[in-house]
Amino acid sequence: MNLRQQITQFLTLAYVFSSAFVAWKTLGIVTNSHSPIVVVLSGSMEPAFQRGDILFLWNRDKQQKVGDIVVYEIEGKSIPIVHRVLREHHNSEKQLLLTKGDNNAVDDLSLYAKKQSYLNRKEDLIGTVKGYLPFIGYITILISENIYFKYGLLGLVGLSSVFFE
Amino acid sequence: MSSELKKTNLNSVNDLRQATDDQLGQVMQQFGYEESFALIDIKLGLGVATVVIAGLLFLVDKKFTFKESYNITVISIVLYGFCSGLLYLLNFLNKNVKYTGYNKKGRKVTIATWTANKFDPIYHISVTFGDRKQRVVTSFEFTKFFDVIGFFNRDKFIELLGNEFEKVDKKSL
Repeated sequence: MNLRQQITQFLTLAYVFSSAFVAWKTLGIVTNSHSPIVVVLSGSMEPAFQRGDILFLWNRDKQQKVGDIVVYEIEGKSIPIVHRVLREHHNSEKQLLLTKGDNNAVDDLSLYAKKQSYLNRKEDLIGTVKGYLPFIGYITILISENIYFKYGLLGLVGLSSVFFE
Repeated sequence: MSSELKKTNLNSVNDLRQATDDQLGQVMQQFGYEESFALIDIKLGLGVATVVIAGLLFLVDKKFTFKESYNITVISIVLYGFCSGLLYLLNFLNKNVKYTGYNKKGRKVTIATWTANKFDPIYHISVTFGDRKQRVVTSFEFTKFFDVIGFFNRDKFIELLGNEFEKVDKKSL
């Protein structure tokens, strides 16, 4: 076992992680969004999106239109929210948005941070929804919400590495 | 020697090829060639560079927000792309090259080896001798130089390869 062989083995393993990570970051830079692919976690946009749908985001639009579906993040809350633009006000420098979930009775004022009565397009948005895949993201919901599923899946992955090369 | 005492899994064509590739250095020593690691070291260096860049980018990603780290992320991705591109190009130009060596007169030898697929237990080998552009392309069955237990028989392999080299030398005379 010499040093070159050891480095080669290390690299084969490291490439798996590094290439996936760099691909993700590249997608983030291209779309100008820190998480360009998100999974819908709530039913507040039904019937447009169900829990578990995967959304593809784009954050290089200059302005949003009323009716666009946007994903935003509120300071201090780490969960991104997918809702539709209900109202917008803009001048040449900035755009302010009010959003509402299609399936919600009222707009999002109560979801925003204290004393915040609008979203600042430049600051708060993660992206505009440009495409989606139904249901496939449900697996991440299962993993995060169902502990039996999580360990069951881990067990299966472990078993598969024993039986398949 | 210890490396000869290693058993190889006879059911894996890939393992057999790798075990044989590992022996090329010592085999070519018998023909008076000293292995040159320049190409391998450049490739390893580029590989390590890409992993280091990705690792540093991961730390930056943990520590700073997306907007703060935007520029450094762009720079890292460009560097990463450059290194992997170069690596890809090197691998493309030196397809399957497993060994490069020089003898005392400075004559270069390059050896490329491959197997067709994982069900074909045949070792394909292409040996190119430097400036005179002599080339030996041949193939041996693995059974010819691995015994039933999975030990590599170096003397047998040297004999097989030597026979092929002699043919070329005769032709060029």
